[in-house]
Amino acid sequence: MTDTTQNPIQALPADLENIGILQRLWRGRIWYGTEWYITVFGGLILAVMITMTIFAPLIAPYDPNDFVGAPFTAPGKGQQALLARAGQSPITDTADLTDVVIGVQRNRNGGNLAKELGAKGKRYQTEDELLAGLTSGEVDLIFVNQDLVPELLAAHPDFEIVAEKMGHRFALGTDNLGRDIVSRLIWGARTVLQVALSSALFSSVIGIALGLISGFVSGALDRVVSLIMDSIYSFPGLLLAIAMVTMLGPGLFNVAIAVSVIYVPTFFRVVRGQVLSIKEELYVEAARSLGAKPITILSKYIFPNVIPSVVVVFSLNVADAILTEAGLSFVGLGLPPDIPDWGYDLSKGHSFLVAGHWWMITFPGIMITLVAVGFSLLGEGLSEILNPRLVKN
Amino acid sequence: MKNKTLYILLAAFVLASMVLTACGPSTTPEPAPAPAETEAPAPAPAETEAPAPEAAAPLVIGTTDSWSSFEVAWVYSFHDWELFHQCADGLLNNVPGTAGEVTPALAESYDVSEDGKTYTFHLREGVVFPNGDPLNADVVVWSLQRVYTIQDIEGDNANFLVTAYVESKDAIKKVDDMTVEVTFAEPFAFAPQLIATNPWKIVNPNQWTDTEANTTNTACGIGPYTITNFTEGEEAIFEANPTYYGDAPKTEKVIVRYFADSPTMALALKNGEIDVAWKQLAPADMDALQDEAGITVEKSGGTEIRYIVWNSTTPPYDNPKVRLGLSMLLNREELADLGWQGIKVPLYSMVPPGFLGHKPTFEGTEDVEGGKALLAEAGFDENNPLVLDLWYSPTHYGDTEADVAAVIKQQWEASGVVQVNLQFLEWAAYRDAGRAGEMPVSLLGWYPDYLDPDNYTNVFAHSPAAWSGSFYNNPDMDALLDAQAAERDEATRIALLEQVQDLWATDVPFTPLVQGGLYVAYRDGISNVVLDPLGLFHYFLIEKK
Amino acid sequence: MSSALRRYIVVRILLTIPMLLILVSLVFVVLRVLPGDPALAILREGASDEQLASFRAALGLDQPLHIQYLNFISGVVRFDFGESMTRSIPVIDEIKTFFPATMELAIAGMFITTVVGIFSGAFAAQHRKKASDYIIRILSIILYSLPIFWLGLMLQMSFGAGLGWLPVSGRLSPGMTPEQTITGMYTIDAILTGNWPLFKDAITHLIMPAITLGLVLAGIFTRLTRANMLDVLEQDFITAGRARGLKERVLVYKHGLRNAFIPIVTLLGLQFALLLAGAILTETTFSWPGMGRLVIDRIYDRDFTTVQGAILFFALMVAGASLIVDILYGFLDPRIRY
Repeated sequence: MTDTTQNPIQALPADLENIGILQRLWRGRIWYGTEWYITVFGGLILAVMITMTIFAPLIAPYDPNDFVGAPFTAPGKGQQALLARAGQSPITDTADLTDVVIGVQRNRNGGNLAKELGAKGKRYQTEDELLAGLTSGEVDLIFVNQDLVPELLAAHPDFEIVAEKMGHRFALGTDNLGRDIVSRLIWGARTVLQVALSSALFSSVIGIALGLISGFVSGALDRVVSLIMDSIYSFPGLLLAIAMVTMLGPGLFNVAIAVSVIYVPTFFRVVRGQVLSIKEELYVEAARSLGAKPITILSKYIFPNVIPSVVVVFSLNVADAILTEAGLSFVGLGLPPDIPDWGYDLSKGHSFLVAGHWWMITFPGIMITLVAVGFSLLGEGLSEILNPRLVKN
Repeated sequence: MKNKTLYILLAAFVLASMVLTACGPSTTPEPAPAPAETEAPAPAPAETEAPAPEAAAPLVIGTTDSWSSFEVAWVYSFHDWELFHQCADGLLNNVPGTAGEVTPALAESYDVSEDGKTYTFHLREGVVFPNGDPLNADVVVWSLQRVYTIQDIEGDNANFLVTAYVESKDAIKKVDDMTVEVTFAEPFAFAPQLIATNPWKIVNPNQWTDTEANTTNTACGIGPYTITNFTEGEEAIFEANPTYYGDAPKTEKVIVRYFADSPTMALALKNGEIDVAWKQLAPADMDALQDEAGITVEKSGGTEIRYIVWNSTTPPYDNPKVRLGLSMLLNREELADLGWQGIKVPLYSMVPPGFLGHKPTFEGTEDVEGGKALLAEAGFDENNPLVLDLWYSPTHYGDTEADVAAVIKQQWEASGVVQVNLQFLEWAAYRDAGRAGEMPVSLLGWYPDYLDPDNYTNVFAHSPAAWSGSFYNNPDMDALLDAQAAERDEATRIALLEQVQDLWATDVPFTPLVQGGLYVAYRDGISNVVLDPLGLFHYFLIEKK
Repeated sequence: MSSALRRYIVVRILLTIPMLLILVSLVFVVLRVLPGDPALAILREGASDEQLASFRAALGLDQPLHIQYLNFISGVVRFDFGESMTRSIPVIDEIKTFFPATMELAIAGMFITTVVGIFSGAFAAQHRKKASDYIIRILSIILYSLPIFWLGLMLQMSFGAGLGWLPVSGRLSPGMTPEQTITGMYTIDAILTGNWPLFKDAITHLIMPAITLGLVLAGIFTRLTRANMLDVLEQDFITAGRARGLKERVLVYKHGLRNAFIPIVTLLGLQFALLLAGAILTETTFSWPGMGRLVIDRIYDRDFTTVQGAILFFALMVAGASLIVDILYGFLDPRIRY
């Protein structure tokens, strides 16, 4: 690859007009090099996320708010075995367990399963109490985690297995309320994209409008608006979001607005800067001298030229908005728990990290990073493709 | 150990990514930042305060609470109260580990008048402040009257614990040099408990002024410890008071360490950076520390209660059937297990067990079918579900609150006749909306001001009941509450309190949910940790080997 | 100093004043619009209406809003930030307690950012379009896409709780707090007083928070350094140097980096605002008693005066940093005229 890509757009051969968009995209890698790969990679991550978002109800194995399993089920675990004292099982048919009394352990072994099957769970505080309950004949059946079985049978040869592998397996485990993490991640993608995209949309609309007007009109208005924007810009972002969320109250839409306020100045600055330089270009001068109305100049000559940089800023801001939203949740001010949200899951995971339930924090963290990386890669790649000089200035 | 491998892998991963990112030609940057390099060369090591080797290692107590005041009339939050408790005694002190028993402290003894209103305190002889000033009747009167003065100048904070109950400022009188007399407005049964509260502690006129509140004055009063250093947000250092009249503290030096959150505090305990992890160790962390070798976790019943507030002026919650119906759909055991990791216990009356007249009238009311029937009477069924907003505040009661709300939502919705939207507001806004009556159904908690059933009933259900956002108003309830507060015969009072609780379970002005426990985790070598129902921690009793 | 430069500085300072005024007015309005007030946040659940009213009156919250605003602004003009509404101590004292911690963390974080960012950026530029360039670029993108507290927690779990190499929280071990401080930044104080045990203790506590803060920002820095270096490396004098047979390493790290330094210094100034903001979550993760935590806690407490003072102080620091950078810029690059 040589460094002849100063203005790659012009290097495109003419026959490109005649081939399909996909093929054109594929050929693009030759001219754009690394940036192309970066962009496509980011785009792919996002495509997966968006697919997940759209088909969430179909893909997610469970309702993200249902307490489907025992709390803190580790990844890949969750199935239960039904144990009895050897030869003393009161039941033979495990298909219908309605109203059968089964010993379960608080927040661990079988509590949820018993409820799901309509059995009567007798609750024990600890595993030792649970086992003692069976040994002493206080209950005739107990639920234990499937992977405890070999160990338990070795220690208690007087127990026998009545049924095995009952209930669900959870690929990424469950959280502290027994909600399926996979389902929460899938549904959470929807929330995160909604918040991040709508907040970037709000801030871009306001930021672009203000930037266009301010840069184009100049004078006192420009100075005042710039001052206000600079003030907001020097305000630590997360604090502003916290204040806004407190003011607006909870809810998806309100969080999106709170986050968007932080990014208005970013759009404003970029757009205003561009307008100031484009305004001086010859063709704009020409249009003006030909008597074009200001509104025409803005919409026809200036706005289209601003788009490339706005796209880049938009993409990078979405990435940042995702992190800010997660930060809000981390300090406890994100969304209520019935809206599945990675930020909330992450802050829950933080609470249970010391207890060793690493999966609660790891997977949402990876998802957030992944989506933020997706948008950043897209922005990074696009910035060099659309506007090779933007990064440097 | 499997975990260890995991950590090493994790560390290796982090290190690897750092090295890769920074794989400059030769200088892989040291992970250690060295601002030293940017500094001017250090001056020759002067004779500075290298920390003097301590005879015995100090006891380090971790907390996630934050300090707000050392002003005696304002020390009201649990943490401030606890700090002040180590360095200032009152005329009477609470007996550690008991629910509301008091013992003479700065007063050697006291008499109560016939009508139960006037208390005469005989001060202990030979007691001095840490700076050597003697304690006498003038000091006591000045100190107590100061609570009034500060209230006039700077507003009421905890001052009301004196001013709302004592007849007037002039009702605090010097009888002779070592005798003080205080007259209350009414013959309050709980007056001794009041006198053991914080604003009643005695401070030194030579170290305090009565012209303004002084929140940063660490002089305290007369207590087992004195505060020798305090850095907000970092640490408070207590050292034994050599002139203390009572038993000397078991540990010479105590350091209180401030943490931003419970997981960090739990990690610090595991890491050995602190000896004791105290308030608020989150349920999850307590659960985790329980299985840790070398760490003991201790629990005891507490006096905190959690409950649901119904706005009795907002339909349909103005209908007791709806309030009771929804209460019947709850499963408190599951709520405590899931929402609070089992560290709180179900509560079946607003008056917690152990208090005078406790009668668990909500026991046996958990009945889904019964609840559905009641809601059906109020017009709600599968086809016309009751749609409600359940409000909570995410951080004020620890990080479990969102889970608690989620569990309640799940329990209500499982009935098929209720649909719940969860809503939250951060604390100050939450209180604002509550008082304005904007939240039909909300979660609140309560720590008692004084250990008496009155403080669990009267404060809530007596009209106008506005502070909680309930606005409950029932003349029958008011009459019962007034009667029990004025009753001095214990048996009659118990009967009245039981009637209150019976009415409570049918009219349901508030729904009791759970009772909080106290829990503390400490490392091996620490002993004599006394958990006090009042929630106070007695640093001076703890021993460290 | 040239008169043009002097004039420029004066204009810059004059421009900063209205910006700060707008900022503090914004903060004032935002805080007053928030539901809830200090009385509700501080007094307990059961406080009576009279208690609330008397508390509000004592704080002056019963006065009309414009009076409160005028009082506040007239205080700010005299550099008097008032008294904390919930702690009754001068706000400036609060700032004095909490700011050094943030400053120490920010400086250490900046150090990590700069070292990691400049070297990896320059290295990537030198090896443009080679595997190492791609790896560094991707890694830097991943770094700034990491939730900062997540990285902090992972470090805490691995190096702190898991391996036990480093303390997980706080600025010093219990009881190490020096009686008297000079700057309030313990590492620097320790050097100034030659107190080496204190220095060691402070440094071990500083490492993890600084790495957390520094690494996340290093991602951005790497990217910017790389772009600037590419610019410089294309310039004639580098080509000439190459023609004269200078070693590539010398070219890149001596001549190239020196010339790319000016824009990097500018970025350093702009980064400062970002650094202070990033410090908020880092401080929460590591129980670092700094300004970020102060402001968050006091927003919850509705401690209007402290929040106003702290944010004004933040803004002053950011404005000051960018001013200094601008001036430095003038000295570093004589071609720049104002």
